[in-house]
Amino acid sequence: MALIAAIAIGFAFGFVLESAGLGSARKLAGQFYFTDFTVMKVMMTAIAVAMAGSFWLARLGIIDLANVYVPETSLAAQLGGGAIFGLGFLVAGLCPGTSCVAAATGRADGLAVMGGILSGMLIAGRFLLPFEFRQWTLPELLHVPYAIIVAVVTIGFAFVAKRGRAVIAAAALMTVFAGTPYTARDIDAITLASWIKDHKAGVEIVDERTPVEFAATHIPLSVNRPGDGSIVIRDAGREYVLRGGIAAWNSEVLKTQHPTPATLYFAPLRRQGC
Amino acid sequence: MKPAGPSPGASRHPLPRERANPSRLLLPERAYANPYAAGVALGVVLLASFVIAGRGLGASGAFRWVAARIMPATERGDLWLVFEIVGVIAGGFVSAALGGRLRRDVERGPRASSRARLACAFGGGAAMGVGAALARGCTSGLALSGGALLSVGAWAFMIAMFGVALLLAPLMRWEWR
Repeated sequence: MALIAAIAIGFAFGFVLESAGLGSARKLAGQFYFTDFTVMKVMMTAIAVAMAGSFWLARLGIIDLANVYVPETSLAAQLGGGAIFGLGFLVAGLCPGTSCVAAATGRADGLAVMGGILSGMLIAGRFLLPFEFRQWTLPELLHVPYAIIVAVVTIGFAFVAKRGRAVIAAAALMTVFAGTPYTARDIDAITLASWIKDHKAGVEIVDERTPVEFAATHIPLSVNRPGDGSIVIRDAGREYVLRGGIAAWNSEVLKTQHPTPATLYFAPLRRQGC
Repeated sequence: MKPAGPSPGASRHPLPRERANPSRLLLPERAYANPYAAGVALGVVLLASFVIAGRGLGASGAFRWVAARIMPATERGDLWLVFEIVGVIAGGFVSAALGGRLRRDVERGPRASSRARLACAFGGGAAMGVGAALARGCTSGLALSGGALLSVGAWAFMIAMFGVALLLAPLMRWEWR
């Protein structure tokens, strides 16, 4: 079923690319000489539409951004890889997706690009790539709320639009006040404990139980702000709720710290790093 | 999508016009769609992919899947993307057939021989293969899909890619004009 969806989504993708002329290497290469701006126009419009669209679908609760795969970041790998890729794109005149379209419309150069990409993948596959990738988004990098970034892109788009500027500007204004697109979701006690142990930057733990309960036992570094009784964790604009509350913390995290004969016996060994 | 009328920039296109293509199909050739309209359509397709599949579009991951079959030591590929690329090829073919744009040729400039153009295509493709393997994505999977989801790596990749391509573009001008 998922694979049928893959074919259908791919069909629409290929159809749109070809319709815009992006199966033509000459047209794509024109972007690098500023004689043809189709690549930039199509790509930036698509990014703006999908960016604002996914923001609002998430904000309205239709999709959960936590369930959408966000490509991970390694600056070294992606700046270096991007530079090598850019050189290849310039020489080939087509990128991987558009080379498939070019080949589908009968162009032999498209087929040659496809063969080249496969060979490049095989060459790169011979080397172990030591780069570490992690989840990293622009709101975290710039310390600017997600909504503001979407609003800025939307406003930028209003400048190039020939029609509907008022509507786009209104949408941008609404976005400014829309808040976060992330929905509160569960986090388990063990994950939270590892965040605290690693001093993960930007994590804020708000304990919304009563001050009496808070005084009895609470999570390290948490602050007491009496509310609905749950424990809320904020991490770079995302909101989580501790699954199982303080009881889960006590049973899952604190219990592991109760010394048993075995842990006492192995404790000196563990300190030596064995 | 319904192709728009002749694009206003078509006549001013400074790169040489298409060579005669004897193997065109019967349908009359139609102009390409307006790039902004195509961009909106592409954005909607990308959004549909987020909603239906929980992921963006892609291309290089499909090549990686094939590479991993040939050489099992390579990093894992992505079967979903292989099916998606089958769709891309079908969609591109149908769109070109409806627009009268199917042709069997090697697209190149007046000063480049077919052989030189094919060598560039293959060599450039190989560099893209290495680059995409390093960066874990290409123009579709990383720049387009990641860009829309505000991934830092996607924007870093885009800046590096267009930066290098624009910087070195004068060296490759002979390929097209």
